[in-house]
Amino acid sequence: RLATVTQIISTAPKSVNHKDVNPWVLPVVKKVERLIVEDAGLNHEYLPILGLPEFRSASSKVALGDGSAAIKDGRVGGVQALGGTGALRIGAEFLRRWYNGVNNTATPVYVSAPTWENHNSVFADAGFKDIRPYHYWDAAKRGLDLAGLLDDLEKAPEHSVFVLHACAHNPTGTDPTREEWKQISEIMKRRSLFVFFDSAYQGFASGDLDKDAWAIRYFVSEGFELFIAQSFSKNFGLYNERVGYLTVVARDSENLSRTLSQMEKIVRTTWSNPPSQGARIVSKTLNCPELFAEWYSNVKTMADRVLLMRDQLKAKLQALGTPGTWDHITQQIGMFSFTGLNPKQVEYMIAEKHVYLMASGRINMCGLTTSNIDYIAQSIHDAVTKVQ
Amino acid sequence: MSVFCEVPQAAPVAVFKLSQDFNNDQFPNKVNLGVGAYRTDEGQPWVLPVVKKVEKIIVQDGSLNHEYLPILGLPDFRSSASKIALGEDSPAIQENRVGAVQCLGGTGALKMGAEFLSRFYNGNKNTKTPIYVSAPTWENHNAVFANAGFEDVRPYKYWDAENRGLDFAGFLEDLEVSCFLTGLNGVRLYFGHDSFSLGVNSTCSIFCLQQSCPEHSVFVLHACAHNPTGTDPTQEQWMQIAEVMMRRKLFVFFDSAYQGFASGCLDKDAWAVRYFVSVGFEMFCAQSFSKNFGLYNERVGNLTIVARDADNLKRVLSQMEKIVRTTWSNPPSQGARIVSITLNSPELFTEWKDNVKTMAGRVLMMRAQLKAKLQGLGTPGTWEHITEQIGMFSFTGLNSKQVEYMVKERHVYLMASGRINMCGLTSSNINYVAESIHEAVTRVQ
Repeated sequence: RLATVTQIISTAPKSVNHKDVNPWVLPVVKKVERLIVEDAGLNHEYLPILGLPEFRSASSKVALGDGSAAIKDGRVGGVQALGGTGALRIGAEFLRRWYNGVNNTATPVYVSAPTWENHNSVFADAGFKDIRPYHYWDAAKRGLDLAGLLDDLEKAPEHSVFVLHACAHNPTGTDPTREEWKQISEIMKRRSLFVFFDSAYQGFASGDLDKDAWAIRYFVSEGFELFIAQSFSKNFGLYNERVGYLTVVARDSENLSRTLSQMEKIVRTTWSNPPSQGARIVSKTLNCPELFAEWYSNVKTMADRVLLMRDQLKAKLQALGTPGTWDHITQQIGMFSFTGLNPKQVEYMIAEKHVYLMASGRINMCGLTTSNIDYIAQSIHDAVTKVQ
Repeated sequence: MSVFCEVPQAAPVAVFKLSQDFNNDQFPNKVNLGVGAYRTDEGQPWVLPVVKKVEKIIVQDGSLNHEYLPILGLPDFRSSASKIALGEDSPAIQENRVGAVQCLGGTGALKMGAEFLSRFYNGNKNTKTPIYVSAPTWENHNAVFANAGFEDVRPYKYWDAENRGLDFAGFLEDLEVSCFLTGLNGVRLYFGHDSFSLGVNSTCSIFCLQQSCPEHSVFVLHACAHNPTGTDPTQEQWMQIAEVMMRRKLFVFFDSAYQGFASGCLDKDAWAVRYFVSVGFEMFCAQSFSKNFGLYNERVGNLTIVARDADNLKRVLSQMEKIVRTTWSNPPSQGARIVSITLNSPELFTEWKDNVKTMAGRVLMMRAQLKAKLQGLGTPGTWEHITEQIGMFSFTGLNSKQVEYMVKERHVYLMASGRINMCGLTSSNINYVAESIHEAVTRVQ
């Protein structure tokens, strides 16, 4: 069994690992879980269909900012959902039924090439028949294929839906710069393309919630109506409690209200009403200044560790003289890095070195630790020099 | 112009609207007999003592973390939940042909089952397979199956309003009838096959073609404590239902939301489900732990799957994984942990059964008292059905005008169908409710 090999390192799973390669329950989460269990005023009655009200308002604030004009205008609402997946699904189901006509399953839905492997299926299962890639990753230059992206935006049929990664693109770790976001936005507005953000790493990417939400907030300030599928799996480490939120920004409160009423119908036939525990934890934390500060600090801990591993991995590869450039390791952001290793090299890493990563060459930086980073750097070096 | 400008306003879900109206009502003696949640005699929600205990255990367990559950859910939850439905010593479980998907309450379990059936049952993507739901049924059944893609959701006869009981003959007829023609003179001619033909004969000048119950149709059966009527088939009747369904190859999809809650006894409430398994059906059973654990808002459900053998089961579960992955990815942990820890510990399990008996017992007492008070008041009509019906709900027999009177004049909130939630009754309000029913029946026709 592979388990007997002492140097097995898995860089494949998506969850965060603390430096001892252990899962980490955030200290603030442990604290709030105790508060909840000791609160005799709480019970287990059904939540409203759209979710816990305090959670909903706090989630929108996290994404759009405390001082968001759109929130003040009463044109922001949303649906508590089952993680980022659930939020994407409710949004997709709504768009399929009510966007660009009634039940228009032919509306093209664009997802980045590459993208999170579940995006395509979520939209397909919601009924969309035409899911297409938009240019994103330039393998040759190991960066964003901006020209290709902009070209796809120009050529997409009007009203097409585009799934954009708010930050820390999965799997490439490569985000547009602010300038590049502005160009994207200009075309999308001009061509009436629908903006659907997937925001799974806010705070986790740079350690700064506002910085990681820059693109979302820019688009809102530019007047877009849009959806944001938010996940609290990573930034709260609450993977298994399925805490997500679909933020809806509409032109005004009246349009918002009708939209939410239809989302209620979709929720009712999917899970009826959402689970309480995770939403309570997040809500209590976000709505209490001290807990919020403590959470922010926990998030920074996670983000900083990832940044440290990025620095160290690059430094070690450079020191080993590993062929190629390794700047992308520190230029990329978030949990993942597209190493540039080809499938043969990936196979070598797994079969010979017992270092597990995705066939695409994607690694989860959180799998790196001070104990294993030398071994991994050496393994990458061997893969690159021995296998072509 | 908003991209949402053409989106129509959806009507609110009736039962939640009722609760909302109740909450907004300032009348001091108002009573909520609407939504299906247990209440204590003080009219308060009840967190089961065993649940409170287990929640503390969980928070103190330093070995637990929040890593993703497997797509199909917490393994210990899945196996113990299926055991609850099928019995500790279930041969089917021993034969490794029972599997499960942890789902988001009973709704999520129905949804997963429906999505699977629409893709893989009775052909590939056969959205024309008829789905039969009882008339009446839980208001969400129809929509769950329709949203899973099924185009033909039909009622099967169930409630006999006149006799306030099960329309068993009608039920069997809907299971049995394969094809019938109705002539102008109302004569029905039955045929024993599923083909249709249109013709003319000497007794009637025109035949009207009626739709029938094709083989392989899916039937949604309430395992116990039928919602909303509270009226279940007897064991004899279940046996007859099973015989027809087996013969006509109809698919069995049980909805089990009240196991333990109905009679106070888990095994008794699971009799129908276990009988069907014992006669050899492959079937689905959507289980909810919302009521019997009082864990409404943690969304604890389980879709139990009984297949012919382990190989078929395995392939079915692999497809269920794909469906789960695009809906919620993997299920929430907290509720499943609570249920799993409870079911898997002999002491906690005993304590839970006791808590369940408490709830069921209070409902039975309220039934007995309501009937007695109505009889005491001399309220016109018979009120036997109040104690004959089982579970949380009772179909009072009040008509929509009488219901309106109850709500508007008496501030007693119940569903337009006349359905009341027995849990809403308490020793403090039962006199007022009995009087209100009396008033409604005598003053409003």
